[in-house]
Amino acid sequence: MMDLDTCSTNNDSNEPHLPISTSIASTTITSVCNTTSDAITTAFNLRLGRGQSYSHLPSELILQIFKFLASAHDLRSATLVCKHWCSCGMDLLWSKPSLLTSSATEQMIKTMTSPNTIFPYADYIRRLNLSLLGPDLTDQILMQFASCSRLERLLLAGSVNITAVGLNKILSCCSGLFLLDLSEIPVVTDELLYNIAADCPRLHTLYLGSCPAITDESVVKLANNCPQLKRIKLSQCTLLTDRSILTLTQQCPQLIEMDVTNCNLVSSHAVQSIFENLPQIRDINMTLLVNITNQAFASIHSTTHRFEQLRVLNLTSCALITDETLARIIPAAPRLRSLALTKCDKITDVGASVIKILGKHLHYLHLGHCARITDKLVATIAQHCTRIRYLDLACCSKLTDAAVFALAQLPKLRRIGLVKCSNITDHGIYAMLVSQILPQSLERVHLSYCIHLTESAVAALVRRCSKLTHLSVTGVPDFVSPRYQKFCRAPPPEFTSHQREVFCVFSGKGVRELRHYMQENPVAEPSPMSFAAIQATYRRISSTVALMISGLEGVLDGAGEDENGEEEPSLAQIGINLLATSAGIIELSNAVMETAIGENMEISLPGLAQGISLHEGEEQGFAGTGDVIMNDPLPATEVPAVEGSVVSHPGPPFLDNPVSSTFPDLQHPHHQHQGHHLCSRLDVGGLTAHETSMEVDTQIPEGEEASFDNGDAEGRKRVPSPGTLGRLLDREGEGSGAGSASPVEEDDDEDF
Amino acid sequence: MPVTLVSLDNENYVVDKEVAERSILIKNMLEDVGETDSPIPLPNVTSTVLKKVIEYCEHHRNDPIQVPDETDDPRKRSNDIEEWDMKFMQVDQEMLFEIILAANYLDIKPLLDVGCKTVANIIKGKTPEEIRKAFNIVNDFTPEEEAQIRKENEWAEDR
Repeated sequence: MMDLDTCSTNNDSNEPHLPISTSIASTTITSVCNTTSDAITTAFNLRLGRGQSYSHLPSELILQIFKFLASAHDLRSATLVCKHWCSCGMDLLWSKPSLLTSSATEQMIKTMTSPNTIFPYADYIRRLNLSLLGPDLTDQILMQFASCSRLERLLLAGSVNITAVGLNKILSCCSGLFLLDLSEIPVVTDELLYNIAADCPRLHTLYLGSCPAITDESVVKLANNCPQLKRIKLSQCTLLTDRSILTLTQQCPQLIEMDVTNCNLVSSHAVQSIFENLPQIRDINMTLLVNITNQAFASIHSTTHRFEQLRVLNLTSCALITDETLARIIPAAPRLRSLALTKCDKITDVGASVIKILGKHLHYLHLGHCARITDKLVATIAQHCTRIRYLDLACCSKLTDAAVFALAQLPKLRRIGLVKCSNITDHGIYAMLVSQILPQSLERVHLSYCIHLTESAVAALVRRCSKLTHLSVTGVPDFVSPRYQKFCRAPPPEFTSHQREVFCVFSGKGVRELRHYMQENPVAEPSPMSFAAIQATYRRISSTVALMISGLEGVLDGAGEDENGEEEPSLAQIGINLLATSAGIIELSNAVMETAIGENMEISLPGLAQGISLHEGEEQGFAGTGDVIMNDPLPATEVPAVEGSVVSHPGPPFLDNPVSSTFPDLQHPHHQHQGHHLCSRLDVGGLTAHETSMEVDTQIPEGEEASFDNGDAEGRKRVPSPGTLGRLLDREGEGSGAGSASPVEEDDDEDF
Repeated sequence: MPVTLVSLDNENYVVDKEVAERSILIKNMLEDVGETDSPIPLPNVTSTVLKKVIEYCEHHRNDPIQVPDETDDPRKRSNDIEEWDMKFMQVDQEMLFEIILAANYLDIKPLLDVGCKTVANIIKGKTPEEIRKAFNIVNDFTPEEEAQIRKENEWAEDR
């Protein structure tokens, strides 16, 4: 009989009765169970292995290879190659079965419960995720898994059709469980939790989100019986009070993750206990703790309290907190990666500017509905937190194109939410597109209810941003039209007829179809805009940003390096970056000007004059407001007359004028000529800025990324109903709520 | 300080200490014996393979040391091999096999990983028969055994 030599096989009575004669030297097998790399044994096996083939690789190495096979299909194919591979891979294949359908589940149960199987399959199952079956999961199916004696992780979220009988049966058989996800199961009650507390003392992860029947009584019992708890989700358990939180923080000192979303009886007192008792906390979600005030954070002093592990802090809709809370918590949690302050509408620029000290650590930031914040805050944050990937500014109604202008410098920005930032115009969009970086990284863009946008700018965005997978333009007048809406996805069923009418969200395939359609049917030039208006807008953007930056210079004097001695991008660099962008804008202006010259119009080019003088290090720099009027700067012979007005100008919008290789599809050779003429003095600055930002980037090892979400967080990957929470949070339909509720799960964007 | 490594077939290779210490086995040996001029015998590695391994270590001499990750995600990704490594791994199956064994013996985790990823990538999308062919493996199942295993694992069809 063959010895099954997977590392984890033990010697119990379940010895598999594989009717396959042994063909492997027993020495090899001995080495397998020895997972520590014992050089002597390995060396011995190496000699055995030499000149032999892959079928004789030591099992631990085969297992290593198999671990890189992400799909069960590939792993299954590998197990069918030969006996040795089979015995190595079978445990792995069954350890975390991915059961996507009930038919696969039934097939698996059939194998598992047959009397004469080759392997003791039930023993191999360590992690069982049945949540994908949803309503198809019944007690009858669930109880079949009671024989999985080594089950460690059980995920049953959203199993609405199982009962306490089935749950109790399987839980009583799995005393080794350390992860249990019972979110959104209606039959979860105090009674059941008493049993869990008694049966599963080793639990370190327990998800009870949307189990609204549970009360303090059972949570207290759990806290007392399961001292090893590290992660607990109690979102929407609305009966819970401070008592639950206090007991948990006192009895479970290892807690690193806590979700108390919408436990709205919880007060500041309980939140204080989190910070007092759990210095190693990593992830706190306090969304909709509507009663907590600054008092909750009042005991935090950044000199004595350090929450070095805190990565995720969600204070969405904790509407009573003010700048004071930020001043307490942000300096004490210098490595925050994800911060959600959505609907904390008392927050102002002054308090929120402390966010800048998070620097490169901050990747996700939600400031939706923080209606007091202005462009200046956005510019400050964009300057310091250069690794932001995901930014939500929905309903920050004071923001203007200048904020977008500042954001266009963020090299890693993938998702940007500007829903209802109604001051934003096409020029903001163009500012993003003249950036060297942004068009290449943007994946999800939310522009719903940016009512001033036109299809021209959106078309340019869609065409330039090749990675775009999501675009929302609900309520943008140009898109309330069947010709675009035919590519948009279906509005959520709960929408009113008006909401359906204006709904316009493209995702995945829809974006590709839209892009194709827009290429086939190019939109007209931005006809309502006169040259003067375009000029004025760029002048305004340039000088606003310049003023903001020069304003910052005083505030930030001396803040050159962060604590690791890593050089933050200096103001000069930011200036150069902006300059690079202005260079692009100047080019655009130039294209416009050229046409204008053809029409004998007089055009001013403020950006050009400012840009050059800053680049040359002169004092007036961006702060200067004096516009240089350029009266026909080029000999008339060099300017081919362009016939007709802007409206009839052929080709795509003015943005398509060549600035650099970023815009390769150049349409007008004569534009290019002039482009070089005007840009030659600016190019150097732009190039330098680009390279510098790349350098800054590579200094930071990417490996750091991995430190965040490893371990047992896997349970969280399943998101049962992405929109649910968002809809709860955001009934007005203004967006940003859902995204904020789950800052790390980027795919849960709301439908706006 | 340079270190001399001796292959199975008695070839000597003089390499910088920091290059040799990419191998945790050698690093530990050097730590145990202290400063030494004496050559280090590597009786499990032939000169052809050792040359290749040294090439890898030279290229990665300045990489940060990998911290052992106890929370290893069992389903790892195999599509993140960097370009140089990808080229480096363009060798015949025999050599790939030898590199994996040597990386394991010498305890060079990143090299072992990249070797295993390369093999995994070859396996991906292939039928059992194609895999056997790719790695020159003899099918030692009886047809009945193969059929039974296939049947018992029919559920694992997640594509």
